[in-house]
Amino acid sequence: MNASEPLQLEIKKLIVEALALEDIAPEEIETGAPLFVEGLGLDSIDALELAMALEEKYGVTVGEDPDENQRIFFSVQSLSDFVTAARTA
Amino acid sequence: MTAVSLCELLSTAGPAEREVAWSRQGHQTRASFLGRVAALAGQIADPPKGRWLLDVGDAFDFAVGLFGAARAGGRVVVPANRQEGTLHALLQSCDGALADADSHATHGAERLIQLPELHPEPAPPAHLDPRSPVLSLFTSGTTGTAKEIPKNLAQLYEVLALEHALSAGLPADTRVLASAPHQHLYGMLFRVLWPLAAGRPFHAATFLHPEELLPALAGGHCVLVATPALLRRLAGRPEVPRLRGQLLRVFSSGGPLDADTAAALATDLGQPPIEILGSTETGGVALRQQEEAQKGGSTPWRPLPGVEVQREEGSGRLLVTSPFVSVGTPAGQCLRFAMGDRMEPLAHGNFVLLGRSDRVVKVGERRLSLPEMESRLREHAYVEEAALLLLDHDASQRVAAVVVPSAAGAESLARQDRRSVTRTLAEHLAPWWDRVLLPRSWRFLAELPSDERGKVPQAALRRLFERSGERPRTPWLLGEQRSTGKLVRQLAVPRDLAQLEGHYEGFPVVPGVVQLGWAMQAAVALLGHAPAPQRIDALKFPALLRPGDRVQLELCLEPGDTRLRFRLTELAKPSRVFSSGRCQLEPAA
Repeated sequence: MNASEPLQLEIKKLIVEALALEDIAPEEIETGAPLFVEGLGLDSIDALELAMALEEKYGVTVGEDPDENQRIFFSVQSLSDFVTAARTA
Repeated sequence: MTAVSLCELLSTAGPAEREVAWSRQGHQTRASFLGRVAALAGQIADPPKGRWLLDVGDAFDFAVGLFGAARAGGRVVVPANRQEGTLHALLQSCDGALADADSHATHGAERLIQLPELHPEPAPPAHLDPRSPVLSLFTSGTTGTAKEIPKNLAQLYEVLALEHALSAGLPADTRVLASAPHQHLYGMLFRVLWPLAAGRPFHAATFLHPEELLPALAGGHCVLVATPALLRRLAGRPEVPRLRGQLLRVFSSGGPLDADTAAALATDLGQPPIEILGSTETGGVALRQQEEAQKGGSTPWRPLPGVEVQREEGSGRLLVTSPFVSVGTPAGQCLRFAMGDRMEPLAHGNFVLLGRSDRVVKVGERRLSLPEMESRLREHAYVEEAALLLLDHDASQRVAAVVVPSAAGAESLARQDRRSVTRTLAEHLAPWWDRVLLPRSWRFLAELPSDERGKVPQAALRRLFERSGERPRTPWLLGEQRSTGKLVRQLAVPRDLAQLEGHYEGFPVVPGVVQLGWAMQAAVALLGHAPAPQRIDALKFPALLRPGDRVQLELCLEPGDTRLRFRLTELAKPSRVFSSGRCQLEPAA
């Protein structure tokens, strides 16, 4: 088992709860799939809500660089890497 | 005969035996009406300018209450609904109540007069003052609080305008029946006051179901004062074409009438329903008849005689100036009131409505017209009816959708997972709106909730979303056929049926008692009332019913029999029976 799997599942649960997503269980979100538009279908308001939820739960804040943020919010995988890196920094 | 103004209703000479109203209890003559009005006026003359809460279920009693109070120089206060809380709050500002035995006002009123128990007394002619307030109504209050709207008889003179505009070609023996409640202005004007002024008998009962209404309509020349909700259920029924030539006018008001219902009734009756636009504040404003060619809700509205309409600068709202407006800003001899609908003026004073101004919302800084998105949703093959609302989320509000699925939509909901259906619908909207505006929460219902005015109450829609993941409790309806004593429905079992909970982990089946419940629900449509089963015989559940199955439900009641037989079979393979039985109904009294 990959050491980051528990964190990834936790983030999936956070996404479903914070965004009040219907008809999808956390386990059904693919770890590497895009979260926005073509993947899970999230949008710019979701990005804001998700950033607020991540800050509240893990104390991590996103930066000012839009390209960097887009990379961080690309998938559950990239989010979990970001949270892990911020915690160990 | 020519119509009389309401001020002269109690003073104009006329035949005493002429019928004013009727009901299952019998017929009411003009002499009976005038005599009861005089009797009531005699009882309530003290205090002379009293306020009387008027709460009766019978439209004839209502007319007696209104004119009895007016004759005594007082006014009636008409509650927006008959709920106990509403009545008791209003009684605080009233001198007493005019009620019937069913009314919650019978306890709690300082003085109480039971209208059905009045006995006619001699009635010398009386002239009524057109300028003194005789009536208070209440708006539904989109802002949350109900607002009292006073009316005098002059503001109700529009019954003469209605007679002038809408009575051409009605034979002298035309009668009036209604599904719209007489407590609200539309019903009060169209089914009580206009018939009184024009000398047409009106039915005192309010018909809420096509099953009750259809036999009553078959009795000769008549007009129907309807709500859109009733017309939707009436359209397409096999009895309707037989009413052609008898049912001469159908009126609709209280909410939008969908184009399919209008077209179906136009085909069966020879002309589309006459839709009336109006409000408690303004009275009747405009009318239209939807033509097939203009399907899509763009048929223009034509102002009623005496009504002037304009577009309000800035807001685009519909500004109404007429003698029938009872609250607003002075404009010459009249008052002017801005309605909540936005309008676009056309030639000859006609106009089209662009949707409620208060239903243009902002989500994530982007403007959205909810009615516009609703009509786009209705274009999808999965959608029969749709209503949108805003729900609060942490950082923003989001659009939520309540959808009544079509047969195709119901089938998809039963066979695919719900998420692929909601995604399909969202993608259908995606070409026209920014993604943040697309509905994020969805509920699928067999029909939209509606209140007594035929409007979709926002509070009821909101409640659907309070518990997250509310699941359907009844199967999706794919089709229905009726004949005498028989009802057949094609159904699809939702994959996320609420009653599957606990039956059984890994192998969901629909419990037998749930199937029995569906049969009893369908029995209401067959019998016209809820069945009162004495016992169920020969109950069998030969095959297991699974989510996603498509089934046929048959109900059969032979003439003269008291046993209702039901059977639930697989749609594609009728020999496969899920459940069957005989329900012994209460022996007929």
